[in-house]
Amino acid sequence: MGTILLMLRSRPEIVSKKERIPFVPEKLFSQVIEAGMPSILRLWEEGDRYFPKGALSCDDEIIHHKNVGGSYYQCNPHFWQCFWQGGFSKYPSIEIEFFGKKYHISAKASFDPILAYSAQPRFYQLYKKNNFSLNLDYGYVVELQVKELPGKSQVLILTDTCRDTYLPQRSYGYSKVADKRDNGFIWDNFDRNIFIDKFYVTNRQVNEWKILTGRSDSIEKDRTRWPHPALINLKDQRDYCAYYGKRLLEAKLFDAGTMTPADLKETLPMRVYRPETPWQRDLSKTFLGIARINPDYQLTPLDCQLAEVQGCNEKYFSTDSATWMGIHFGLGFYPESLENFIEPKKNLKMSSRLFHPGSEWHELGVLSSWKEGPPYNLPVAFRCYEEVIE
Amino acid sequence: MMFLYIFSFILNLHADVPTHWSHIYEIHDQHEFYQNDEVIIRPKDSWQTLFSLTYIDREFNGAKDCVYYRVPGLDSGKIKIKTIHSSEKCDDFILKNSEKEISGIKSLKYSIQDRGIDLTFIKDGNKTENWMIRLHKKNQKPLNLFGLSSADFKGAKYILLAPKTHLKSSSRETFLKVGTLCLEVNDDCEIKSPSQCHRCENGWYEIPNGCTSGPKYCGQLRCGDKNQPACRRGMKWQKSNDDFDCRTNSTFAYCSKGLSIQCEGRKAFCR
Repeated sequence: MGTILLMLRSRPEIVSKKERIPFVPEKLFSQVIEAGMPSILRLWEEGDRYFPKGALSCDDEIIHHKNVGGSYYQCNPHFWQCFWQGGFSKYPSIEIEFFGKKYHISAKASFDPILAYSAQPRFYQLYKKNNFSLNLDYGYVVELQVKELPGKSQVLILTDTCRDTYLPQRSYGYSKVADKRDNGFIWDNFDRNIFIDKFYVTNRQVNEWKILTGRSDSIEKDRTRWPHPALINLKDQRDYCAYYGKRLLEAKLFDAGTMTPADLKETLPMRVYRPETPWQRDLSKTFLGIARINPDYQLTPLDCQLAEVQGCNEKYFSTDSATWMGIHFGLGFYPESLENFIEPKKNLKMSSRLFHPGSEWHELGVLSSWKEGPPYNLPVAFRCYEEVIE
Repeated sequence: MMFLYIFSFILNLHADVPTHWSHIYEIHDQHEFYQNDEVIIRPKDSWQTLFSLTYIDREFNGAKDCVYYRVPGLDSGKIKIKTIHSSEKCDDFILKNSEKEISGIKSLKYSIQDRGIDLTFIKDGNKTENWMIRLHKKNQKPLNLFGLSSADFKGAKYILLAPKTHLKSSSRETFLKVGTLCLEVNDDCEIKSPSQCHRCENGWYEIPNGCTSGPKYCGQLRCGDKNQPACRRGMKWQKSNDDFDCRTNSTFAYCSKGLSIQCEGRKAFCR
């Protein structure tokens, strides 16, 4: 009798005790999304890997030219739009396996068209900080769904993890030094978290800024020019960077990012050397040095990958000119606008594709003065940097 | 009878873990005294704030679910969940009506860990509920920052948004004006309150004062010019242990060519 009573007693019932395959649809949905995020992020951050060999069918978003490198398609909302609206394959989806079952994740076209681009509903929405809950100045809002779990969706913000790269904390030198025994202007960035744009700011990025600030009518409409550097005036360069919580790149940061330290492990060296190019300490040993002696020097494809100078074919988003910390275009390519609080008149990296490889502008630490307007109508590119407070 | 059935159905619904708790980023307002896995038995018949859970809703509002508990005494216990703005204080709403309530609780305990919160309570009828609230994983910042992007540094490749909370935008949350102090640092190099520089609309700038972190203001950096703050040069390149107070050693700052540093207390300006 006692045994029977013991069996009949009220016992605590355990509800949802173990983490196992969820039977609540909402839970299953959120776990499938979580499981699919690495694949979604791969699509977002490494768009170039998904780029088809054949032609695309999304001319409103991308008109690809072979002189545009794959990096352009990384963290690129037009790539995202093209992929999901069927520019690559008829029924795009990301397939994942979760607890032995296959699920297909896709983005929803749930956002209003951006008429400056096309009348198509968008698979993303531009996000710009409008309150302070997020430690995030900008990003792209997207909505995901799972084919096998209809009626549910997840909204999220994808961040731009492809844009900039960290400047290690150490002492740096600014500009050239007249005498190699002279240390020149030395500074350090200890206790500062500085991130420099890897590439020039593009027309695509400036278009987004204009759309967000209600100037859609003045965007660059020629899609073939979207990957090209944005050529805007100095005030707009500063305002563009500030809008995203960034600043126009400074000359001393440009030097820091392009002059390879002699010893990466020694963050406070006795002497701070000033290499003359990003890839070779001594310019005379490079094609630029040889071209100074021999004006008839014939450029090789490798030369043009390191520094696009006069005589090279145009290339955008090439990654062969990467400096020691990961930014591009240290020498050659476009003239670049630089803020200079040490010598304010030296605000332009003149080394560019406008000049013969033997030109003396092609050397790190050599700057010019940018005077806007005619007769100095130079095509001046720019990039930003961000300092993050922890 | 029918009414009782519907009533018990609603109660059961309330006992489910809120689905939007799969979007939780942080835990705040933890109770000062309760220990992990301690059965909460006092002070009897009082409302206590156990913890709060923060998340971002579809309208980018920072929201906070305050989890309150009325400790059983003469009456049985009750859990109350109230959604407020993340900038508000749970204690200010402890006696207000809430969106969700679970009554008839005999006992309750919880434990807070890095991965989230395990909350267990026993209801009348000895039915045990075990809620596992998991924090949305924030990327860990790697030790070696080489090659890291600013977005990765801030810890988020993506941010999941919870459904709309119907919270009104907080009037307290406005951009700070240009020139507003957003990070206060005193003459002893102490940071007086958490940085508000994320509330600057167009970035911030620092006035170097020789401290690891100088005071910061909203606005664009225009350092080094005449009558502007000096620019920060750093305090380690000198390889000295000096106190970098502007009045004694101003090598932590610089001005544009032709200008010199003038001190205002510890702070460096260019004249």
